[in-house]
Amino acid sequence: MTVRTAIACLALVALLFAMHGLHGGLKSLYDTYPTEFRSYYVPSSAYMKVASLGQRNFLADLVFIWSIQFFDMYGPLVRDTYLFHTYDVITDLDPRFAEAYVFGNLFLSLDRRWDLVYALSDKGLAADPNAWIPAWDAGSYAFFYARDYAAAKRYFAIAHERNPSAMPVQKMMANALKYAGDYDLALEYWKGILRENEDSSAPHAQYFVIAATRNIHDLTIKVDLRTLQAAVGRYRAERGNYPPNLDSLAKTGYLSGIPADPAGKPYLYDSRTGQVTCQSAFKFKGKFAQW
Amino acid sequence: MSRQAPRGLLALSQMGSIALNTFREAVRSRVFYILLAFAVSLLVFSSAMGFLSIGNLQRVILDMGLSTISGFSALTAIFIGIGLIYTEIERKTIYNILSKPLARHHFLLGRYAGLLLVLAVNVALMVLVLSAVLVYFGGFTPQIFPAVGYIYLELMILTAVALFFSSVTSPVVSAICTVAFYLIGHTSSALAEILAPQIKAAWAKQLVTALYHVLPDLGILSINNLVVHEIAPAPGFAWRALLYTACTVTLLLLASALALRRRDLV
Repeated sequence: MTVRTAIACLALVALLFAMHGLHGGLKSLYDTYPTEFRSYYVPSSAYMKVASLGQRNFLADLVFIWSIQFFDMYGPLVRDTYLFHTYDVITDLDPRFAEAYVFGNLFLSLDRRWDLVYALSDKGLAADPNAWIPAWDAGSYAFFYARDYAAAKRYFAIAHERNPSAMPVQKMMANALKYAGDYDLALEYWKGILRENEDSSAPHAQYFVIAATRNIHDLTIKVDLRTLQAAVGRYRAERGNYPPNLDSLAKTGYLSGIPADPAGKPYLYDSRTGQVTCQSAFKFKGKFAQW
Repeated sequence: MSRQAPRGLLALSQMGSIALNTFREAVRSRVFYILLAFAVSLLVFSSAMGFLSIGNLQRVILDMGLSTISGFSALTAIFIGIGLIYTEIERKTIYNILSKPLARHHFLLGRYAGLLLVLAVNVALMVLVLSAVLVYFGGFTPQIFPAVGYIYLELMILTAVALFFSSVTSPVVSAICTVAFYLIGHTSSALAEILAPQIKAAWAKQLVTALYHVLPDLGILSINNLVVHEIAPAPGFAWRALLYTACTVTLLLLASALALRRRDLV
């Protein structure tokens, strides 16, 4: 080995060590940067469309993969805004990207940004006239987390319209109507679910029969109490006093007949306060029975 | 009439020989194999990318696969196409060829057909790999074949562009011009789709729209983004795309033939 070769080898080794040291230095500096500023910048949809050179779906896939790997790197203060922007860009690149709506909604729900969840879902529903999952997702977030039963009713109605045979959608539609206070329509939905499932051998049919029977029981009481209470109110408004008993509502033409509760027991009436009550207990107990 | 038929056959045979020679020349080229190796690696790697995603493995393979086929076959067309005529002139081999009873435009057509053959083999190999990956992961759809067919139409245009620039200028300038054509072809639709709606002045909007109509639009031939959603191209799309490609290719080959005719090669 000549002296020149030895010097060259030593220089090479020194260079490798220097590179390793410099890399370590850069890494330690890099790790001090705030994590939320590392990777959240996604350019505008217009730019991304041009930059994709026509391969929009592929670029949408890449941004989607990036977003699900790094969504938690966003700082909590900016996460919702940037996540919405990211999923807005992905769904601009491919408006029919079903998974983007599902996971976009999931991540946005972590910050309880229901307005953004609804906006992303509306976009998915507009992009594909046959898509029902964005409506199902938005309805579920509205129902279970936001407790926004009007929104839940709206989204489950869309999901039901686009996928009428899906029994879970019908069930959730009926529940949303119930919680939104639309008892008459909710009762009709549950009766429909019962009709479709009572002679069915499909999996979970028995579950739907049980759920429908319990709901029909409770909703019948709710509807009857509401009807009776309204008739009592009208009677008092026109005659200045409460009716002496419920039968007098039928006799005076305020109602065509006085119903009994689903167990066959008559409804109770207090002529001093005008309150109508039910002897039978509701099937649904606890917090969720307070509808 | 009786003498024209054998002459036509002779021309066809000459073009066939040139095409075959071009094919042999191209498949001996390292560029061809390097690009093919990269493309095949990316096609196989697409499954790894799919695993990074959630619930859409097949979609990622399909999107990435079609994009890879489109991108790498375009690179092959550009890098092999740019030297097709110029290197013949530079090596002076064209003098030997044109000293024989062969029209210049037949030489040009032969070179063009040869490169198309190379691209057909290149695309077929990539489709084979993509299909194998998709079959393995259960996401195969026969819709990739029409999608690749439309990619091939785009390649026909791109090859004609590369050939045109190769007939008039050096490989480096040809490469720059053909890549620029490719980029413009894939971004010009943004003029009408994104820029024009944002412009308020009517005259400026008309100018941008006119520019869009003047510039090439290669993206209009692609159905890659429809395949994953199993959306079939609109009725009448196929023959319009074929006619659009035929018109563009004819125009470019005529321009190339004219440029080659004007060159002093004798």
